[in-house]
Amino acid sequence: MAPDITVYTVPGCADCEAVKRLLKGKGAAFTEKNVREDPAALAEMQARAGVRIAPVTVIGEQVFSGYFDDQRPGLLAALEAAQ
Amino acid sequence: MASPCPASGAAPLVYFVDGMDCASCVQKVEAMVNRLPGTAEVRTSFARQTLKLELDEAQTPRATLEKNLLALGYTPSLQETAQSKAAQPPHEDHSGHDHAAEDHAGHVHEVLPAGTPWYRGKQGKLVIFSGVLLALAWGFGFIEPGLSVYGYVAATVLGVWPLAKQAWASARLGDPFSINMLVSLAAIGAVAIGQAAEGAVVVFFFAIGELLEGVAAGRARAGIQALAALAPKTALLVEGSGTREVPADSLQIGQTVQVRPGGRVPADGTILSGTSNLDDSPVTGESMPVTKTVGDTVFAGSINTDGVLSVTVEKEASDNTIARIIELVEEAEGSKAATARFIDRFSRYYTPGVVLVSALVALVPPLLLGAEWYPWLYKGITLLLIGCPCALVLSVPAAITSGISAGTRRGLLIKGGAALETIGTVKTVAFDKTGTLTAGKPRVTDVIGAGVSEGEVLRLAAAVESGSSHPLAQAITKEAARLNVTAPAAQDAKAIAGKGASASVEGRSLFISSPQHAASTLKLTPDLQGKLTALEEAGKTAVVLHSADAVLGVLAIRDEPREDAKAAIARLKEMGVNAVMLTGDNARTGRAIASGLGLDVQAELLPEDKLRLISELKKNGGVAMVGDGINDAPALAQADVGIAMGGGTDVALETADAALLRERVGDVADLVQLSRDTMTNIKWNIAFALGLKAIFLVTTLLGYTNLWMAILADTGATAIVTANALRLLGWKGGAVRKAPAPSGLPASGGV
Repeated sequence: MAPDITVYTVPGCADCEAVKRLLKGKGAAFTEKNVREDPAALAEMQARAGVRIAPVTVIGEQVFSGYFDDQRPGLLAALEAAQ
Repeated sequence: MASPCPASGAAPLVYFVDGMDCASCVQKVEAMVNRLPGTAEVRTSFARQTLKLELDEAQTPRATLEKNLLALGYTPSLQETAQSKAAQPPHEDHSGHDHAAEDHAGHVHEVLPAGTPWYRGKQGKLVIFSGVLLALAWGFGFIEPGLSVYGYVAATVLGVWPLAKQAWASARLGDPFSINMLVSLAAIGAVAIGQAAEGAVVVFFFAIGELLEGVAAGRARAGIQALAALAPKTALLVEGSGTREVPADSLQIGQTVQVRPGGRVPADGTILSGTSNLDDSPVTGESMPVTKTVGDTVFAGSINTDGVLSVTVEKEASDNTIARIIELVEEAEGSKAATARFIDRFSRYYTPGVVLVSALVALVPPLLLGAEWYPWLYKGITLLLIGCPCALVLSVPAAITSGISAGTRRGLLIKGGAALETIGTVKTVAFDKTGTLTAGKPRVTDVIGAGVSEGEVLRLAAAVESGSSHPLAQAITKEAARLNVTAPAAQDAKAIAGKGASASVEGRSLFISSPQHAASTLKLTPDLQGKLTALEEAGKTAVVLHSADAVLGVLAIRDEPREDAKAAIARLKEMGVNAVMLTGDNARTGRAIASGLGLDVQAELLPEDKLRLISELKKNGGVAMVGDGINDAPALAQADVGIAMGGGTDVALETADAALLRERVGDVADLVQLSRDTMTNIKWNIAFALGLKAIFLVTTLLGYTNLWMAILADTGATAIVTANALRLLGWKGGAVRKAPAPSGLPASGGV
């Protein structure tokens, strides 16, 4: 089955948009959480990834953070493994 | 005149950058900082939302860096690290170091260096300036009564100029409705309707209010900054057969320092020679001196009360336990409680609302109802002042900072306003057993041989466990050392999570297993089974030493509950908080310990079982997990609040939301109480601030309030709210302690 995917974002974040674009391009459904507007989402992101900076991508049990370029190889590998 | 800061090579600056919450923001900040001349080693922390850099202020002043960050829309808060504090001489003019923070809705509050009188600060000078202008205008009225209005106009305009500048700066940064804008508008409005004298008074009183807020912020933070003063500045470095005094922050890992009686330990390390009683209260809040000797860990800042010690340095100055506590606490202030976030959002709508209501009050009656202009303009302007959200916005951060500061001084380290808020709401506290409810210093109580001597069982067990840091393993190796039993070398040593350990000893594969695991791989005789059961029902942890096919012996270990555990559990229950023990130990041992303490128990848990149970407990409300931070890191992270027992391990300081540095179970109840007291304080502050504004709203509309009463109400409310928040600095918790902590901080012992 497809793993749960959550993306933690903030408005106006280019790297966040890039992550979402990649997921859409791969046809992967995901939940988006805005950590600037929602303190609970920020706390959740910190608990799962240990960082305060968006974007953070969670695919199943795997957590990716940092710039989009840093996340991209891991995201592709995780999506590949899920199919 | 500010003295110049040190040039290249100065200690790194660390800023918490509010608003830097996405990867692109980080990139933008880093790019801007890297382009400034004199910057080096620019690093950002995704985990902490901080910016760290080395800055040659001869090329780029600190104020320029901060101004650029503000221009980009980010608000920097300089974090005073122990290292940067030691390296920087105090400044008379701190204007370049203002701590601008969104919490204060556009306010800039300078925190004066310790000992600086209020009138030497920027805000203090503004108060004097406004006061002098007002006095001159008033005096001028006697010389030329007809022209006194011009004196008051001049006083108002000159006094309001700094406020208007700040209001304009805030507007350019996206916050057009700042407090400075409200007051500027009101003062200028007063002049426009011919009430220049009242306009001048408004400006003067507002300046006083700002000064009070700055003093209060400094007072709240002083409790935390006092910790930095405890770190010694110099150390006696051992060189050859003599010693040399060197700066403490120049110490390198591996060097040896000498600590004389009455001196303060200069660095975290291990005792190489000597025995002494150490007063750890500056670092952990533990008020009883602790006897330490060769091999024991010491903390920078602790006071050596008697014997001479030689200490091997194990951590650099910036990585000392006390430095990291300070760093974590200061970062805590940047992590907002949910209430603080609510107030921020509320203020964003409230302040524009005040302007709108004031405008309506001033314009609607004259324009639509034909009323006179003057009285309604006057009421509109009065409402601007009554509407100032100073008291409201200040109430939360002042209380949070005071609460965190009070906690830190008592060994309750809380990492964030959010954690402080959540702790008071938990319904269940889940405790680990070993190292948390018990002291984590188990002792071997029984050694039983099965066909081999007791000495041989102990010898082989010590060999298997020699490489492990698990408390049970330590107990076995210590018992062997105590009895002068020499353990043979072991190869291929492994720890099997939740099941035991294995190693090759003298050519044989040996295992130390829990009774359940041993029973699943071997046949245990009924006699041995009976012995195991009896040991467990006595509250002891039994482990089986065996080879692949035969039992060699049994060791029983007991870890005594901490002396205050039972009273602490009872106190939590009185506070309406359930307590449960989660342990990997077997059910009988768990029940024996738990029933003695009066709490529920879930036993024989693997780490993943603990996670599942915490998730289930969360369905009944908030859950706090208390562990020693070694095996419990995942469980601490899973709980709503993770509380680490002890601050000595890196994992504890980094993983948990709070740390109990004195390692007392009673501190869990204190933590809950501190949280509740802080939130109660905040609620009263908010209620008072809003209540006062409601009263003055009514009296203004009825025409009974004038301008100076309005600003006085705002200043008074701010002072009262601030004083109430600062009461938390005196918080001592409710429990009677066997050894009361010394009042205040101990005097510096000097080195």
